[in-house]
Order: sequence, then C-alpha cells, then structure tokens
Amino acid sequence: VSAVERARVEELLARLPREIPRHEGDVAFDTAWEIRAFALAVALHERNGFDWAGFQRELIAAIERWEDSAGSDASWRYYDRWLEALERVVISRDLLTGEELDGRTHEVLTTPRDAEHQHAHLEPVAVVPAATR
Amino acid sequence: VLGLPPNWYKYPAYRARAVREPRAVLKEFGLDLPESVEIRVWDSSAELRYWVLPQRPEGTEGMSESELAELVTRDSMIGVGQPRRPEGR
Repeated sequence: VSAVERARVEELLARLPREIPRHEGDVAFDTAWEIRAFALAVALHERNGFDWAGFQRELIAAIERWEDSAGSDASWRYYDRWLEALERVVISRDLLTGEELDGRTHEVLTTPRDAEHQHAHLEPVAVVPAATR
Repeated sequence: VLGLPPNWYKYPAYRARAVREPRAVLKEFGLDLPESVEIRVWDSSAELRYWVLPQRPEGTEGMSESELAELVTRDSMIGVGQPRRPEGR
C-alpha cells in the first residue's frame, strides 16, 4: 500500500465515529470477514461513488441502536456495527436488494467450506512476472 | 510438505502474503530471486499435491546420483532455497 493510498484511507477513517480497532498504529482485524467488510466499504467508496458521509451516518446510527439495546454484558465489536451500516447503505443505494443479500448469505452458509476442494486447480493462483528491461 | 507443517504455514495472513508478494516472502526465507525470474504461485488441494524439484546447479554435469544428493538441502526441497553448488567449480 502506498503512502498516498494509506493517507487517503486514514482521512476516511478520521471521519468515523469511535476509534477503529488498531494495533501499533495500524488498523487491526480479528477475523478475515472484518478485513473484507472494511475493504468492501473503502472500495465501494473509491470506485462506485459510495457516499462516505452516508456510511458515516449509518455507522453512528448502528452504534446508537446497539448502545440502546445491548445489555451491559454485551460484547462490543466494531465490525458488527460496520457491517450493519454497510448493508443498510448498500440496500438504500440500490446496489443490492435485501433479497439478494439474504439469498447470497444463505448460499454461503449452506455451502460447505471445502466444497471445491476435490477439484484440482491447474492454473497458478498468482503470477509475478519477471521484470522486463 | 512432508509430515506436519509448522503452525504459521496455514495462517491466513501468511497464505495471503505468499500470493500477494511471493518475492518478498521468499526473500525473508533467504531466497533472493533475481528480478528476471517469474514467480508463479499454486495452491494445493485434496486432489493436487506438488513435488519440488530443486534446480540443478551449474557445473554438475556428469555428477553421480549420490554426488548430486549431497547438494540437496532441506530448504531446496520445500522451494525456499537453491541447492548447494558443487565445490571448486
């Protein structure tokens, strides 16, 4: 990640409510889905004109709903609220319908983790070309 | 990998880096590949396993099987190192 990209993302993060989880200064994630949720929101903003202020408002609202309803023993996880806000913005902007989201969620939940594991993948998953001079 | 792989071998972060920046990961293992070498990354599956064939060093023409075997290192068998070069050549 270049310094310019990093600064651009940091600028987006500075506009969000509460402190995003960090470790030694860098944005930190506990699970792979948190990374995906984070990357989806940033990518939608940068490539699809996803309105960051709208996301910011939804995140504030999601946190407020959680604060109002969660008991004192409820465990706080930033990305639970992040995902809730992301879903709402994506649906309200007609990028996805609630049915599509539910359908895809169902598909993922009912597909075994290693559903494709018996198939041989003969192509490389990544190629780093030699430098041409 | 023959036998049990080390724990970090299956960590998502390590696997992701091996795909995203394989050249840098290999360098951390001490294998500094020249920029002129293309790197391809494959994943194994239940149906597909890979066998690493170390690159034959220059100057080994005419060496016997046991002489060649002396040049093979553990790292060269797991794809993160080159085999030893024959001495005095």
